[in-house]
Amino acid sequence: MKGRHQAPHVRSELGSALIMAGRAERPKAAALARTIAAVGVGAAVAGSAGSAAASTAVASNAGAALLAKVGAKSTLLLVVAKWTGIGVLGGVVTLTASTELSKPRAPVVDTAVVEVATSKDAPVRRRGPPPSAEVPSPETIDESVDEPTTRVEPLPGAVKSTPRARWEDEGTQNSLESSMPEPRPAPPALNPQPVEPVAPPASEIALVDRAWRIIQGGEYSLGLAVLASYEREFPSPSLYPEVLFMRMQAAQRLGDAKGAEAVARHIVSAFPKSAQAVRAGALLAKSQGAYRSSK
Amino acid sequence: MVAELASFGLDIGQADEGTEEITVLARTHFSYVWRLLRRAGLSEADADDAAQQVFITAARKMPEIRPGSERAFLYRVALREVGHHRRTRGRRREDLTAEPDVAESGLVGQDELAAQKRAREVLDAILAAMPLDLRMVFVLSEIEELTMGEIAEVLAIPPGTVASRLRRARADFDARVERIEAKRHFERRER
Repeated sequence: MKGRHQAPHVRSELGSALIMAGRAERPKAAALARTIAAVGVGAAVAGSAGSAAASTAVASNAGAALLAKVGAKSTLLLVVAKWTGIGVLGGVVTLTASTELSKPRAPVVDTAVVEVATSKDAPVRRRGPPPSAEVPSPETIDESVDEPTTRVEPLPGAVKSTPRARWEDEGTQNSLESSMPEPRPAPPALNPQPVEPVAPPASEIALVDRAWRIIQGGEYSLGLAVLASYEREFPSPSLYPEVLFMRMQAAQRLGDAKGAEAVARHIVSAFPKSAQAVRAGALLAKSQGAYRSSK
Repeated sequence: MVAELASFGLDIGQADEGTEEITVLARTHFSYVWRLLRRAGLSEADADDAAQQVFITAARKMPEIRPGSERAFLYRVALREVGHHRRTRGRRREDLTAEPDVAESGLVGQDELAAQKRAREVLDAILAAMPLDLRMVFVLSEIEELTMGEIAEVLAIPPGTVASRLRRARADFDARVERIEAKRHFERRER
């Protein structure tokens, strides 16, 4: 920085004290760590964005791997968790998800289908659910446990960390929950099917919303990386049609027409009655029309 | 990290170099950016988020940043974030009272940390009461210690405008501090 050129200014003792106090303020180290983690992902994804055809799967995988590597998954969640007062999209996705949830749930679709379609040259890494995915998450354990003898305690690693002080009350909530009496198992005769959650958790909506905003902002590769982290965070995503739709859009805008079509086909086949299927069908019809006209 | 990227067929050199650059940039300038955001009226948590967004933007625009102008670039982006924050979340800081309660400010007789915190509260209240154009020039000059030329670059205004705004901002700040001191003096005499 260059030297200062302003004329010296005489200030009162209190004025000087206030200025000095302002200069002395420093951010918490955790804030810097979170930023470094986040920009690390951004830079890596930006570095891979040159190859449009391969970037969809590659950037998603790399972004997700880096997120896992540096613990930025929780960073993103923390950032977007503040957006729980999300507006239009949050409302839309919640409504759509509620509609979807009222129907029979489609099984979790292996995203390798998308990856193969979008990047034939890239090494395919099947992202099956992690081993802990067999265990109900802490949020759903009360509803999903039928047999008291098979009750699974929440794994320590499965509990989300709450590094920011603002979430201390959530931590208190967790500790309160853990100190509460064990949940009474529902009688099998009255409740033969596992109870589906009524609506996805706010953090899930917020993460999808985050990805949506990023994609709408034109950062398609970064958006795909966020979606990949979402899929890792929520192995049984409630908002899977929305996620697929965003993947389709991102692939389309990255110029990966084949990848976009593959995702569109997947939406139409797996979620034929969803709102996204209409848009996906339109994309397929358009691409088929283009294909016919080119013949 | 390199091995991780390589396993996915990434251009390791390019991605790793970019990551390295932006990491250095963040380590060097994060505190300044965050402090500017705080003085612009954002809460600590909002400043955390906004600062993160600033560096995400910087990571994307890394090739556009001129060597030596990193801080000015980051401040520009930070001020845009402040504008975005104001539009989306309302002008909460402006709702603060222009004249902080000095009796409760505890600038005297408290331990150092608490006194610093309260001094910042008083400072933020004074800044919040200042017109935005004056406030930003004042913060960049008095707290961030930028030169007038640097402020002109950050705010994209002529240096003459910076000088006149700074003069007015200092007068405004000093007048507000004087009022606080007078109030303090009066309250001491009353006891």
